[in-house]
Amino acid sequence: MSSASAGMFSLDASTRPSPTPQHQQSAFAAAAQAGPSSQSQQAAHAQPQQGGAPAQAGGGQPHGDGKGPKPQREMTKAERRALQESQRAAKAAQKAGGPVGAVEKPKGAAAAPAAEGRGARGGGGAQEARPSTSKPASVAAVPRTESERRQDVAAASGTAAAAASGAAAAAGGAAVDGAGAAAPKKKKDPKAVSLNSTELFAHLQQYKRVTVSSLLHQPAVGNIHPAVLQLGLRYADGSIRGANARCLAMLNAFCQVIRDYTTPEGKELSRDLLRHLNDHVNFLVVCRPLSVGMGNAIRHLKLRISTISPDMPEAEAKQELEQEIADYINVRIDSADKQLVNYAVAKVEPHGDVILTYAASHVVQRALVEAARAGKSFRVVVMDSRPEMEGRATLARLLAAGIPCTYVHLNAASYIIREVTKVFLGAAAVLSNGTVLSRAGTAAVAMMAHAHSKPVMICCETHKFNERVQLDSITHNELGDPEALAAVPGKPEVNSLEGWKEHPRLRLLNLKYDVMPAEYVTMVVTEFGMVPPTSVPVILREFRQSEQTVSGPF
Amino acid sequence: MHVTEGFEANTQGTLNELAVREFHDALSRDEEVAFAVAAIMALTAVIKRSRQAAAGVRGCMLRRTADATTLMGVSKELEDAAQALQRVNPTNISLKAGCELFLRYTTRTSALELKDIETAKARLIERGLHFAETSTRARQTIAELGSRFIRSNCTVLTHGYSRVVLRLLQQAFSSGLQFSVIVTEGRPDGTGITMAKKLDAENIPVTLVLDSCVAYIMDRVDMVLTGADAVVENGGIINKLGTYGIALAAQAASKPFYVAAESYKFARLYPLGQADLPEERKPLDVGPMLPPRANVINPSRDYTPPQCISLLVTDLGVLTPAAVSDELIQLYL
Repeated sequence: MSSASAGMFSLDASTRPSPTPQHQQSAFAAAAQAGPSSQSQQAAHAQPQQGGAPAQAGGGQPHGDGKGPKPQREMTKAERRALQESQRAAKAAQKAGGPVGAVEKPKGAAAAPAAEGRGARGGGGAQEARPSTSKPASVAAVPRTESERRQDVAAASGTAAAAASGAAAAAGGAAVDGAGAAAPKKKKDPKAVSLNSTELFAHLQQYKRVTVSSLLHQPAVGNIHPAVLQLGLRYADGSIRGANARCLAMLNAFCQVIRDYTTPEGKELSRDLLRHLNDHVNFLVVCRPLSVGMGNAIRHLKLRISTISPDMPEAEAKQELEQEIADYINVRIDSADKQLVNYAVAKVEPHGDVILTYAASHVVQRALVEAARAGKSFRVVVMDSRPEMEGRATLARLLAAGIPCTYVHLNAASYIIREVTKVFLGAAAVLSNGTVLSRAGTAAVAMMAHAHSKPVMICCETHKFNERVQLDSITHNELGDPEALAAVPGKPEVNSLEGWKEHPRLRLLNLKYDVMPAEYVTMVVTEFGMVPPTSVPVILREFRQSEQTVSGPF
Repeated sequence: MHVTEGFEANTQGTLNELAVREFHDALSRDEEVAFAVAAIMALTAVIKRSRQAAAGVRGCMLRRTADATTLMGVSKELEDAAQALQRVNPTNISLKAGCELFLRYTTRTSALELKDIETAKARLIERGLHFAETSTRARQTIAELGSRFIRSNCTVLTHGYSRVVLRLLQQAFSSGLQFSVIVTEGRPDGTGITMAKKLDAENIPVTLVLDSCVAYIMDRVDMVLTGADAVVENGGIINKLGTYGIALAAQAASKPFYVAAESYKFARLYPLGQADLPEERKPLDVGPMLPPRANVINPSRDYTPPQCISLLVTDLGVLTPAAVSDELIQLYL
């Protein structure tokens, strides 16, 4: 319905100064000014029309916000009203000199204070409200110096974008963390659409550079355990990357959180700890959206916490939870890796294989190194792509293990695929329809391999399996730093994108993941052996059953 | 300690011999018995025999061993015997699959948790017999399920000799259906000719064609029905050489390709392609005119991927290829 058309429409919105963005912008100003009272509710009503994409994303979530889509008639009425209000408010805002403060959210609108600061700094930036409608969100997220240089431009949009990404953060977090029962009720800001880098992706958590100072502006930062603070920063700067590494680091940090936790007077451990943990999860989401593996681990942990009997002494309960985390790490990640690697190694021929891999996957690297150690002679084609260049790490590790390698970029795929015999790929997640979520570019590699009838093997432990179904890479994804596309490291002469932020019709989109349909997947290598992608739901079902029997003692 | 070890080794040796002997006996008793079923019978015999052996061991060790260890010993004995069986015919996939399935089926019981070793073993034997029995009945179940796919006046193409396909066709014919069968010659071992003879003996109209005639004849065919040496994890099959070619021809001509296979042929194998099969060579069937420098590649079976297969008729029911892996996962997870 209208949401879809709004999304599609917004594709070409950048090519003309259409009235739509302006409406959206002014509507935002209304919401920003109105505060939490009546108008914000209207804005929420108007949201299905204007914020098309967020509404769609909400549909995919296990628990959308309280205000579900209203009947058509009511919505149009509400929209009209919201529009009028917003226009009026926009005028007022222009007079008053810039919108102040985003809608105060009960919690989770983490970026609000920071946004407020920037908005205030900008002062009378509302004049520039119109040009900034077509500015990408990341304007607000550029490093300090940069944002100060163009503060006047960024002022108005900064407020909006930061608030929008705050809302999106909450939404994204809830979406990934399926069990986030206590995830904050989010009021999705309808105006998120107008300012995003590419409006089709407006529902995603917008990229925002995370620094120590930006984190310190978070509302509940005082309650966050230092280990999690550090972890968040390391997620944000990319020093911990990869689904497994991130999940492991998170579980270790949570172990410390639980160890240092004491139940407040008059509260119950299972409830209060859940809330406490939720704060930490929400904090991590602000730093970087959760991966599927992390979401599963959190869900598992929460399930365990919620089944702790109130009679159990605190020390014992904590001990038990730590043990549970240790078991999870051991069974689902560490020994799963070992098993998986064994299966993958068995699929490498003793002689003469040419194996293609893309970007970096911990298990694939490990499997190839193990295969070489087992005396198999083969060659690896490491395929890589901008902007992450993760393949270089793979290359270094394989070369260190004495494996002959060829290094190519993704644009050589059609050439190199002829000499390849097998394709080994890692995955961020495998979904229940057999769809594989992986680093952007992986789907292209798999498609190429499929077109040339080369077997595509996905190495993925079952802790990254998810019951969700996804048909495209739009509904759930992660946005990276658009700045990473603009500059080519080591090539200062390639600079035609310099100053791209000033260009009103240019947006950069740095998507982190893509989706590979099951038909390109020959097999999924798991710790339980090799299964066709059609069998992912069977494994999920078996797990659900065992989970119920194991951790449902009552 | 030395004494016990020696004793165990002795026992294991005799047990393995027993397994192999039983296996050959079962095969020679009845030519209708499949390799896998014979293996299952042999392994059941091993459990029975192991009861005495284990009791003997227990007496010898003067109760030094806990019961659990002895039970683990039983499963170890079973595994060893299964390996001995596989050494008899190392490239036979269906033998391997049968052994693996049987081990899984017996050890997956709660028997191993039972405190009382005698009851536990009785349970194992019971399960073993049950498994053997269902396996023997499997062919009849498949015939009943699969004969419904044959309509009157249709033409069925089959490849090589398969006992389960033969039984299925007999069943359909005896239910009064009129149909004809086209059989490929099945070189190099000419198993298609055997099939044609058996069908003819049943008065089923049969046509013999060259293996290379498959694509030519495909227009006149209503359905393809083959057996399988093994059904692999993704629902593909491993079968006599030429099956893949027939499957491709059937796919190109949009004809259904059915496979009749007993569930003991479900193997924990996941071939990536033709090169990824355990190799098995059969005697070469080339004329004396072979130029001395020409290479000959002579595989005896090929792998048909699940995309080419419409349905698999098994004793577990009529399955899509994807459902095979579901069954296997439930068994092995």
